[in-house]
Amino acid sequence: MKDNELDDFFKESLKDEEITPNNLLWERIEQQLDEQKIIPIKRASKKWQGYSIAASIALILGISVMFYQSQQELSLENNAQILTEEKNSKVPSEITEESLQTPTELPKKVPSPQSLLANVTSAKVSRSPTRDANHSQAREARSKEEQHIDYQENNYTETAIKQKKLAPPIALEVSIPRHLVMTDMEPSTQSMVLSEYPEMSTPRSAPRANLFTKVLNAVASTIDIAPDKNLRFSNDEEGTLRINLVSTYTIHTN
Amino acid sequence: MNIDSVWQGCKHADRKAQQQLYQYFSPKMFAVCLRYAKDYAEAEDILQTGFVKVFTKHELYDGRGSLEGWIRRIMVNVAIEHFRKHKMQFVDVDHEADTLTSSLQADQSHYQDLMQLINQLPVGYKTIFNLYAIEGYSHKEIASMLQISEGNSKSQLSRARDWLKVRIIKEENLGS
Repeated sequence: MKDNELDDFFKESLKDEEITPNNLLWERIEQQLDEQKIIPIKRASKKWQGYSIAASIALILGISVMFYQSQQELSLENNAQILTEEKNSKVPSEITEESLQTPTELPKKVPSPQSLLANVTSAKVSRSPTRDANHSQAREARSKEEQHIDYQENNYTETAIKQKKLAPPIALEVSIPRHLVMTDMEPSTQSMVLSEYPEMSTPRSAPRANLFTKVLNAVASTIDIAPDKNLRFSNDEEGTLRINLVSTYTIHTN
Repeated sequence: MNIDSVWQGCKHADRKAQQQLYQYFSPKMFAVCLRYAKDYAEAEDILQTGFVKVFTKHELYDGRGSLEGWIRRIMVNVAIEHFRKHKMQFVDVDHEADTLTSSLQADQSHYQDLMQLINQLPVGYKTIFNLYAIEGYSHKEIASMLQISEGNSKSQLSRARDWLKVRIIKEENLGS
């Protein structure tokens, strides 16, 4: 028998033979297929877990950065408020001190054109004793000063009203509830206006922990500071909302 | 039964289609597995692993050649993997089954006679004879599949043939 014949003999005899396996074997295959199905799901869930971990880390980082920035803004705003308070508290005290001082010294210190004119006229016409003249001058000056202070007060209240009137457009533009904006704007205007009336300045309520209000407070505080602050904001910040608010407000107040 | 539509179902992991494919091909494939396995249980293991591979790696069938040929190839590969796992070595076997099995009887079918002969072959001979003579692989292919040299494949094949020839002649003599 040749090699080829042997090979063909076996090949023809065996190649197309069919032997039905045990019926239970299909059940075993089904079972194994079910087990292998679970593996991809587990892998997918592991993948998903990895993604979720990465996403949560990114979220935490983002929130912490936001908080850090808002805290910085808040401290900046607090500093600004303290500064303005100091300024405002200094000015009225000086004024009151001056107004409460003995009237004799005042004209010498602050010779207003009216008082000088009065001095001249009084000297020309009546030639009354210098002390009397001084007294009358002082009285006049005092009344003038009082008037001036009144005028100043009126001016401040006017500006306050102006500002309050102008506040709504901002609220509309940013589409924030109006009461929110008003409450946030008030501290700054109060610090400016109500410090003139010590009896009216109510103790300032503690700033809300709300992030949104913090940001708005920071914006409100920057309005009070020099115009270069606004410039800094427009340069640094990427968000358009805050920049627009600041710029529009400054335009309105100017 | 349209085997193409069944295969399409298998691609979408349709369990019913998978069962139909199994029922269609398992008798032929089980015969293949039996030629390579040392016993019935091992042939069942090879068949199970082979069909799971067919269902889970269906994307590896590119449509060239027959589906049956592809499945058969998977079965053969699984059988060889099986040998490797069990550290079966395709080295020359010193001892040969010197006695002709007495189980060869006149009433047994031709197939069973031959299967018995095949199964009596030492593992190394049997595998290479199966691959070369029945499946039609070349010595080069066999060498890479079994990670042996081509010369080793050739020499084992010739020994397997000699071994079988002796038994067939003996059988013929007994039968006559």
